[in-house]
Amino acid sequence: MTHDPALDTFVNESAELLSSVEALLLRCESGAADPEIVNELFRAFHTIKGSAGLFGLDPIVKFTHVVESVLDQTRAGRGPISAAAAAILLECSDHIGSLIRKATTGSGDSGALQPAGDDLLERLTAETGFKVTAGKSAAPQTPGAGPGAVVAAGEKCWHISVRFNEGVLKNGMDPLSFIRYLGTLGSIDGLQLVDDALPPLEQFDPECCYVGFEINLKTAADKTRIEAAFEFVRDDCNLTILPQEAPMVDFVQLIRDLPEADGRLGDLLIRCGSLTEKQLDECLALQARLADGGGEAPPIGQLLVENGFVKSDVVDAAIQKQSDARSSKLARAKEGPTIRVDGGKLDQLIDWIGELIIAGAATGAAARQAGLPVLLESAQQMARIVGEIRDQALKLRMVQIGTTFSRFRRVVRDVSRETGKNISLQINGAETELDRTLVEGITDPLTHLVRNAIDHGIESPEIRRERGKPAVGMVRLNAYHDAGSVVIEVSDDGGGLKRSRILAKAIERGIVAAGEPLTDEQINAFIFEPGFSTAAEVTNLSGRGVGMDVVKRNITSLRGTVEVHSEEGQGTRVCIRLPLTLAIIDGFQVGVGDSQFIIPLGLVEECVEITPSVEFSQAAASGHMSLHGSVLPLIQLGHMFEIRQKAVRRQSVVVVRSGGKRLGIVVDELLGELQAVIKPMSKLFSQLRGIGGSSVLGSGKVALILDVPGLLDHSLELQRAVGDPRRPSVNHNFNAA
Amino acid sequence: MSAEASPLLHALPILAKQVDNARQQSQEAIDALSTRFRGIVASLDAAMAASEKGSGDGGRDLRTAVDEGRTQLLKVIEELANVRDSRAALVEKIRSLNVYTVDLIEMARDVEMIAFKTNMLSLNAAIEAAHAGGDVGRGFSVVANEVRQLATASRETGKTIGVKIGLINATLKSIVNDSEKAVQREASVVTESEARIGTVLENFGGMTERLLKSAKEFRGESEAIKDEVMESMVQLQFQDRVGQILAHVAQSMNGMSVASAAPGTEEADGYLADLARSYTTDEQRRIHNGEAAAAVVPQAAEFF
Amino acid sequence: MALQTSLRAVPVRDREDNDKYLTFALGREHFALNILCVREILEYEAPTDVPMMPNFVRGIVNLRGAVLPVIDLAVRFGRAASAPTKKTCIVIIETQANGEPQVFGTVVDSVSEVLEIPAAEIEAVPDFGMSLRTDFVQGVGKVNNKFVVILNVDAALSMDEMTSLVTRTAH
Repeated sequence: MTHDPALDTFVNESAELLSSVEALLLRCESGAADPEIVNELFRAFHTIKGSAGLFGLDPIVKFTHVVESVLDQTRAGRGPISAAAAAILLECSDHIGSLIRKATTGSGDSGALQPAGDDLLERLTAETGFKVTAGKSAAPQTPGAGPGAVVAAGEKCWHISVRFNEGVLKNGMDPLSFIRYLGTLGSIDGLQLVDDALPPLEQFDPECCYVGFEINLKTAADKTRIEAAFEFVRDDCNLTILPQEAPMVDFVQLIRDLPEADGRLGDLLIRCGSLTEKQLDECLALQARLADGGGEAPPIGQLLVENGFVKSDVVDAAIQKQSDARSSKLARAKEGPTIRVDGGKLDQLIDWIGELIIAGAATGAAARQAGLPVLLESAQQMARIVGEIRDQALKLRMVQIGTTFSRFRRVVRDVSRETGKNISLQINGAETELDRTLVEGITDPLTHLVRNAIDHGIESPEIRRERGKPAVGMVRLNAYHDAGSVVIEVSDDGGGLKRSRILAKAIERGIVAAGEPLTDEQINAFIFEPGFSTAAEVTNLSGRGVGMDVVKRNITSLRGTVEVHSEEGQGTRVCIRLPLTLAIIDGFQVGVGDSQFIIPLGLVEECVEITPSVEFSQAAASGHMSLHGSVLPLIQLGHMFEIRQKAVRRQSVVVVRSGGKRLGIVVDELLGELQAVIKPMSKLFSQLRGIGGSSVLGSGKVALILDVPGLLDHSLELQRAVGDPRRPSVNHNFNAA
Repeated sequence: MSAEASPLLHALPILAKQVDNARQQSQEAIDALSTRFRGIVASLDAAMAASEKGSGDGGRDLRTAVDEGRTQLLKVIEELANVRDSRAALVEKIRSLNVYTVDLIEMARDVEMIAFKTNMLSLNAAIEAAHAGGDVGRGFSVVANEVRQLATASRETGKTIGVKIGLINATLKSIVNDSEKAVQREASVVTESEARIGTVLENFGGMTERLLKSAKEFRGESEAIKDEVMESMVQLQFQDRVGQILAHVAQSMNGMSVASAAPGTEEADGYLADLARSYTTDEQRRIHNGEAAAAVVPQAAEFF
Repeated sequence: MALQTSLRAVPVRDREDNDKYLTFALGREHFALNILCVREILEYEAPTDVPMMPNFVRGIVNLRGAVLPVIDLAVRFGRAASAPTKKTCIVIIETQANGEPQVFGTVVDSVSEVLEIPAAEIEAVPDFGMSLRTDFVQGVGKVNNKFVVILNVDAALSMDEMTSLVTRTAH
């Protein structure tokens, strides 16, 4: 199967639609009864069906058709979707997803899924009580049934007036195919061909279309749906759709608008069955009145009510609806239309902006060297503008984490069901934005953590009752920004980590010697060791112990950190910290020896010079100094990185803060601010702690970007080592994963 | 008077003859001596004249000649110095060539660098060609190969240039070296020559001075000798007087003898008066008168 | 310049050029690399040092915006590192690691030429006598009656192995 980009679009769109379907159905399950939900659901399935039809994916069309019909009937009946129905519908939506995957990846015959599908449909129809018939065959019906014919519940009569443009045939459209399609929507009770536009034979062009139709359609579909049938020729025809009971004014309008003679039109309408003679006479009379009326034409609504064609409250409702539509249109206009952008193109754009920044830095340096003030100013101006562009471009890549979080509603629901626990998912900070590239990477770890929380964290209802906890367990997803990082927390109010068990397991696995003094944090951190699991039983979901270390590795590969806080009996909180952006940051350049490093500016609090009063040993890699009345731990970069330091009169300390902790980094020189374009480093350096990436400077040289959280960790380690002589020699292997 | 005095008187003419003879002989001897003395004086005069000619004007010529000689020699030294200077200038010029050769070496190195880079380029091109594969790759790899050969050729050329420049440089260096050495040698030669010539001139000058001094001394001595000789000649003049006196004596003696032969005192008195009249010198007169002969005061010699 | 376009009638194979190798020198030893894994050759520039890396990692270098690690091949092969000369080059190599291409820069003392070594001229790795790990060697080729060691870059520059060496570096 050749790669069809349109197919990709279909897949993406359907995925989105199914995703929103899922969200809606979950709400239904929880009891939401907003009729608008049903409408949205219907529209979603309808779109999927239609698109699938375009690609000839019949199994999908067939299946979706049933689902859609059920929803349609539900909608017409104005009833809510029961929880049970919603559950089945969820399964149906999953099934459609599988069908799409099967069909579009060419992996096997979707016939294998057929029995499952049929089963689902059966259950669905049984649950909802709606019977669905297959789509009608498309033979146009003979006219005859006029208004007043028996109309099935939920069905309405519509009058469709369509005049095809001359170029319709040349554009590859066949008018008849549309009419046939209409036939699938319901039954065509009346059809009149309008051939008034046919030219004499001599001028007749067989490639041109001169015809139109007046159609009376009986269908349960709504106007939009009928219109949608003509979607592909929307631009190539004049289309008017009127419900049977439309006010006469509309018909009048129609007659006025259509090119053919009034009498002829009226005749057609009658023949079509949309109007009775009597109504037509009224129409024409009204029309005459309107035409003669020199004064201001009274509002249509008023006219209608006056003429008793429509009830006033209906009119009010209609007017209300119109104004609603208008205001929502305005609101949307304020938001502006959204467009879909190929992620790859965005990445390329940001790459180019990165190059622009580097080149701009080179220009600035050259300008400074040349010493021409005009040039220098110009270069600075350019740098400012490029900085703005950078910020805007990076914002383009930011997506709200809420999208990812909402996915977990389904996860929570499924897992709760499986485990038989009652769980509620709270989401905070859904509008917290993070870089698009992070979203993909963070989903798996989060999923695992959530599953863990439910599976191992939250206790069974009985135990919870015993412990006096609320019956419904709570899993909370929280996200917020903190000084250049995005923090994501997964917390639960379950039983917490069993400290003793973890310690025992750790000793058993030889990770640590018995009797060693450890803080709770350190003990908790053991769960990230490979193959570590204290779960008493291995469940389907977790407990095989292949999870947490993978989680940590995934997070580390995103240059993030993860911490576990827990209280036995109370709950657990897993805290993931990710850098806010991976591409271009504001940095602070420092020099140590002959090397240059960049510290993310957002983490820098201040810089101080080292005064002789500072007590720290030059020879050690760490130390302390007193700053603003409190103790600030220090790290000597030169020692840590084994760089020969320059002999400078005074070294400087860059005070950084991350995760609530402060650290002083001792450097030889302070070199100023710059925009740093982060270049990914080879996998070879992935284990390197303390270095968070590399950046190309304007001079073309490479500078290393410091990983402040990593430095902080190391600093804490060193301090603990210094503080407790009983500890076995702390592994200064900075590269330990 | 009488005949008593007659025997002695017979002796008088003999004595007179003896005196005359003596007078004649001493006259002859003194004439001969005078002639000799006259000859000596003439010779002395001649010698002095000659010496005068030699020094005096001649002395002046000698000094001038020495001075001129000095001037000429100094000129020669100057010329030597000029040669030395112009040679030094040549050395400077050659040294300035050094700058160019340094540049040339740089350029040769550049050529090598370009050759190196071209080689790299050709290798990269070959890589790309291999990656491209197919006809395009093949064609391109041919191009890459040609480029590589060019690179090799350039590198060789660069090397050759370097070598040649090295040679040129070395040659120039040795020229400079040699020139410098020569300049140094010449300088010392010039200095030495200057010194030597100076010494010679000094010596010569000294000698000339001494020569002149000697001549002067000689003339002085000659003068003194001439004076002595002249003095002697003046003294010899005395001989003339002596001769006259002798002659007179002789005459007188003769006279006496005659007188004696004749009696009479009047003849004796007349004789003394005749005698007194024949005196030619003061001394005679004085003596005649019984005065002591005064010292003879030589008068300037009258030569006749 | 007279170009000789090759007009020999050769059956077109897909990767006809896998006979081409780049020869280079480390110290006095000569090696060869299949040209398909060579991306390009650069003049030597001192890489930016990356702290706490084993000796064979010289650092990182910027190549038109991409930051690449630079490996000292001599050290990787257990020989002493040599000081850079004007002939020293950095050869950009692409290896395959777990299906993913990895790009490295490698420091070599000099590069010689790109030449063809037909398969017939390549002998298998001898079991002994190699001063290099045999798994690093793909074969031994004969060029102008001299032997060049043809490297197996995927093994010699195995990302997994090198990464584990990096991790193990303690100070």
